[in-house]
Amino acid sequence: MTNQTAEAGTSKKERRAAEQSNRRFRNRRLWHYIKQRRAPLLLGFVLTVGAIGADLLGPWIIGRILDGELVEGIGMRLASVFIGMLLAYFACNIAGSALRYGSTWFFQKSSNLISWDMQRDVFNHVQQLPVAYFDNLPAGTVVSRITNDTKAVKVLFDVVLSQLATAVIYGAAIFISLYWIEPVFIILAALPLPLLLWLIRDFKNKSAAYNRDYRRGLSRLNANLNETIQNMEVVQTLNQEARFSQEFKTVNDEVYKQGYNMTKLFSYSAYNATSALQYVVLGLAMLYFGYGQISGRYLVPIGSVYVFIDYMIKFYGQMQNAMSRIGDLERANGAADHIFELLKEPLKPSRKTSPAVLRGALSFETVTFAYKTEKVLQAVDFEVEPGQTVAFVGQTGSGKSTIMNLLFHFYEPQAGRICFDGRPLNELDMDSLRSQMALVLQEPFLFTGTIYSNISLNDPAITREAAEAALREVGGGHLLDRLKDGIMSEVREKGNGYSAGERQLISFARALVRRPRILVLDEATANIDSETEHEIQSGIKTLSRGRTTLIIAHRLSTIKDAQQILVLNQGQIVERGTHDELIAQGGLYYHMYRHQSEESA
Amino acid sequence: MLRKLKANLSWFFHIYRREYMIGITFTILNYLLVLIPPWAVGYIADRLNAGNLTLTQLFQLLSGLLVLIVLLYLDNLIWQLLIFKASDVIGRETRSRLIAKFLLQSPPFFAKNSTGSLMGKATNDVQSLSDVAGYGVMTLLDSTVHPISIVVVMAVSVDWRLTLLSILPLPLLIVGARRVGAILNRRYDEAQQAFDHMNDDVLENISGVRVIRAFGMEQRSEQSFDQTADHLFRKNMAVVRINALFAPLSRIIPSLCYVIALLYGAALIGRGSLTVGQMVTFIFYLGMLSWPMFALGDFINVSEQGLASAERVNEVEAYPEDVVDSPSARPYPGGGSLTFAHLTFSYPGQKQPALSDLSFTINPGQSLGLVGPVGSGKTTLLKQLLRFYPLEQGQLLLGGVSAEQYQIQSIRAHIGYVPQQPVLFSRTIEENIRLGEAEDGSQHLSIEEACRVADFSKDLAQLPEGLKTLAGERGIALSGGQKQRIAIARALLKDPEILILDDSLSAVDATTESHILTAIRETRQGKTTLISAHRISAVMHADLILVLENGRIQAAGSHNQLMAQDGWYRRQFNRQQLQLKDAQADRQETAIIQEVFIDD
Repeated sequence: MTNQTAEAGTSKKERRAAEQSNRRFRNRRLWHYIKQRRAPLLLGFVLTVGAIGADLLGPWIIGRILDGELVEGIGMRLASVFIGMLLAYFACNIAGSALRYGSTWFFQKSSNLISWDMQRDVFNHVQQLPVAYFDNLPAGTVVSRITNDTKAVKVLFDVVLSQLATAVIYGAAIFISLYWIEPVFIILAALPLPLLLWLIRDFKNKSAAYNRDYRRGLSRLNANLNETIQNMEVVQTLNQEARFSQEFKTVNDEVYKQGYNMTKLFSYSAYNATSALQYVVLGLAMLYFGYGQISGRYLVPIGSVYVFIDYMIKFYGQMQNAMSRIGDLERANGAADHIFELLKEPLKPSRKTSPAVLRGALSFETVTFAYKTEKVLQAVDFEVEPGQTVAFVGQTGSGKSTIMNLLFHFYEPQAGRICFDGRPLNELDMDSLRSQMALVLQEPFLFTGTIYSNISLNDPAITREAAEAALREVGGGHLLDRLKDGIMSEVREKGNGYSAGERQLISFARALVRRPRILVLDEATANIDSETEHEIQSGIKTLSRGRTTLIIAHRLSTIKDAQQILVLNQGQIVERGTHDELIAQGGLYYHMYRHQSEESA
Repeated sequence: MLRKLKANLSWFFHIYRREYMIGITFTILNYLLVLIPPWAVGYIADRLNAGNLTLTQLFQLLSGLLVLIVLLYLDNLIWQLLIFKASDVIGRETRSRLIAKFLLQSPPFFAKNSTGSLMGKATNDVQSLSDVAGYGVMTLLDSTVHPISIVVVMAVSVDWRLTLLSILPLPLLIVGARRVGAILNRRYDEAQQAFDHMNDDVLENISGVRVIRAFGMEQRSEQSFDQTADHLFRKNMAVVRINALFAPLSRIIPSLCYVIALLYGAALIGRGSLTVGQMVTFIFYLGMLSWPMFALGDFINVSEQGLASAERVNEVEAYPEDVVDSPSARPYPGGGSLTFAHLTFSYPGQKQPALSDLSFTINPGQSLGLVGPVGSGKTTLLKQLLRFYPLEQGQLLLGGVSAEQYQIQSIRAHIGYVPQQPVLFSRTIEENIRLGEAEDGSQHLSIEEACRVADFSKDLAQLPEGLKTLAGERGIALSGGQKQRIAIARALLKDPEILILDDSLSAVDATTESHILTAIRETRQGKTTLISAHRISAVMHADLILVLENGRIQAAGSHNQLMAQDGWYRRQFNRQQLQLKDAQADRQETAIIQEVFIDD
């Protein structure tokens, strides 16, 4: 909101300057991609020039035929020359076709390669962005940057490089060849050019605006519709069908209006207006041709007139082509901006440091972390010895989950140190560190694939047998027995088809099979029936045996055996000790524990 | 195909008949007008060659051309406006018909049609219907009337033998374009699949980002993405290889026509039956024949897609609503008791009934509590009142009258329903709550009052823009408890006769829960409240508590009565008390911690 008011406050001049600098930045980045693929691009250009040459040569040959090879009352002036010229004409078309095929292929190859380069750059960039980046962004938006936007940018290269450039080269080539055909034709062809350029400019500006509004309206309509379909029961329960219907009508009418604006624009501009200009040029050519003949002052051969008109048909055809793609240009520029904006996002600092073999000790030393302006952890201090089980207790928002995020270095603390075996996290090699740690999330995330691939996470070092043993060890044996394909059973999107408990067990096996030194476990909060609950509890026991275990606890009953319980409140550790010690202390933990018993009584 | 298309779209062509008639007339006029300039070029050339054209005549001819240019421009303007406007209109109309239809449907319809497929109908199918109405009509005319008119004029004004011979290769263009087009479509589909695959792949990588980072999978997922990207690249290039064939096709075959025309034309010129000027005209005409051959391919594509889309759209439009008011249904006056009489219900397509032989009565002003394990039928029971499904066996009575005798919307107008998963729409919190207004606009509670009862007032103060804060997907991230409380405020707004809380306090802590329940009891005296919950504490004050299991009433009574029995209810209650296994324990702590600190 503050952004918007700020924007409104800036003068038009500043906005234009910002736009310009944005365009410069975008072009610089685009140029960087173009440079990488210049070989196929250059080949494309060379072949285009060749193809245009052949395209222009063909009509010229016919012009020459009309101009003397065909004689009224006689027919062919000289059969051999006539046939030879026809063959040359045909050969021109074959050559032109081959060259055009080649140039399209090279242009498309380079635009696809550039899009590929961008996809990989964006994907790799996203892979290295700090986890915090994803916190406030719908996954779909990020996905769109990598897929839809790179696809849209491809159009930029298709349109700008092949079509617009071809149109310009074509135009230039036509004007140059006219010099040899009839220099005055250059003037005739140039006469309507200012008007043509104005038309193109006007069309570009208007279609950009209409297109933008049209797409905006349509995407709003679709977003609303999607939301409404998914929540139809609520809409109907609230008896709000009429209101929603009215709202859709408003947006639908707006979309229609913008679409109709485009229709109007196309009707009075674009093809219609340019072909009118083309006919004007034709008229001028006939005037020049006829006046010369009648007055006898100069003589323009009919063949040259033919060539001129044919060239003009080609020239205006190219302009019409270019205009029909201008709308895509705007969209592609927008997509490019999205991509480059994302690529500008700073990466998390990467450090290549020595790998370490963990014993499993870790400590937080006055760690402070704030999320945006909100303080989440304040001077948190604790130490965990190898093999210990430590539980974190506290209300939602007390900072429990943040401790997990900091341990895995998803976030960077603002102050204090986190140490593994006494060595600060910043000095350790993250990859080697993470390979010795395992994370079990509240809501286990399963990937598309098989149970095996979800346990091994495609690590070839983890065999099928190892994965299966791990799953049995955490108590998932019955799952294997139930499924026909056992460990190779398919896992669909988000683990659909498996119960919450089963998904949790798979994620336990995923952790166990790596034999991590440090296990971080975020307990599930969702309503789980008691059978699943039991399964999960015994899984956790297996999992934590003999390794440093940090449990983010949502239920007090599960952590009685922990060697250390840390009670968090508003980002600070307010109590610490074993279950019995804390109960004896009669503090916050005791109150929480007792209250739960009394609550239900 | 044409006939089928016409049958499917006749409603539209009928409404828009006048505009189409005019549009088509002007299109045909355009076909005739564009034949004049090539003729003029040849005519002037011949007259000049013969030396019998004066300067005045030349000027006259060229002024005629000028008039023609203006006429052509106007003519083009008119037909494009009319025909492409039709395309815009059909898009709007089809979309609004679909949306209207969607709004009438109940859950069985949405079970049969995924959101994705319905969205596809409202977007892609609407687009392809709109294409048929505009571009389809244009290409149909361009590929039929236009070439016929050119050929006729060529044959009449120049020479019919020359015409027939020269256009011999043109059918090759049609065949070629069709062949290439068919392969191209297949490859497009493959490329689209590769693209969809990339979308899925990336989506997983983004949603699972923590797992990927924690397990150091970055490199492996980059490799797998490289493969996906490479696959897409190959599929795209496969499209290019075919797509680029159109250029040779559109050059080589027409050039064959030119060669034939010139060869035979030379013979005719030799015999004196053709002039050079006519030859020029003829060549221009030949050049105009290429586009119609491609237009035919385009027309077939567009109309094939349009037909498939029309069928998909019609399928929805012809779908009979699962639940409709009986013709004699009257508005529900409200105020009656609520009775289930031997009601049995199964979800469509399921053998096992979700509710079996349920019978109980709630009198006005009484409250009902529902408990039972996951999947025991609590939500299904509550939703019966909302009439989303047709009634099958047994009866649902409102004030002793079958619910089927009442208009569905009028029953819903008396109900405030808070679903298990609270839904907020992408609008402000105030607008979200206002969705609970009664249809006539009468609102019995003020927004502030509803927020107070739902215990949401204190949260409002913390939101950046209070009631004006944007919620939903694009809005502020609200906690599950906040969403539930907004949904409760929404349901309370019209002070409904029947309030249904379907496990809608699951995400709030125990203290808040008891605040809300107390406030609801106070403000809703004399009105009916139905509550289902996992936590016994949420239902223990109800006048009647039903324990459901597998869709049957396993036990019924007040809290004290149920506690006196050795059953699920008492076991669950004791378990929640002693084992502290309530999943919401964590949130209960919140309240306690706050209390403890305030005490200190």
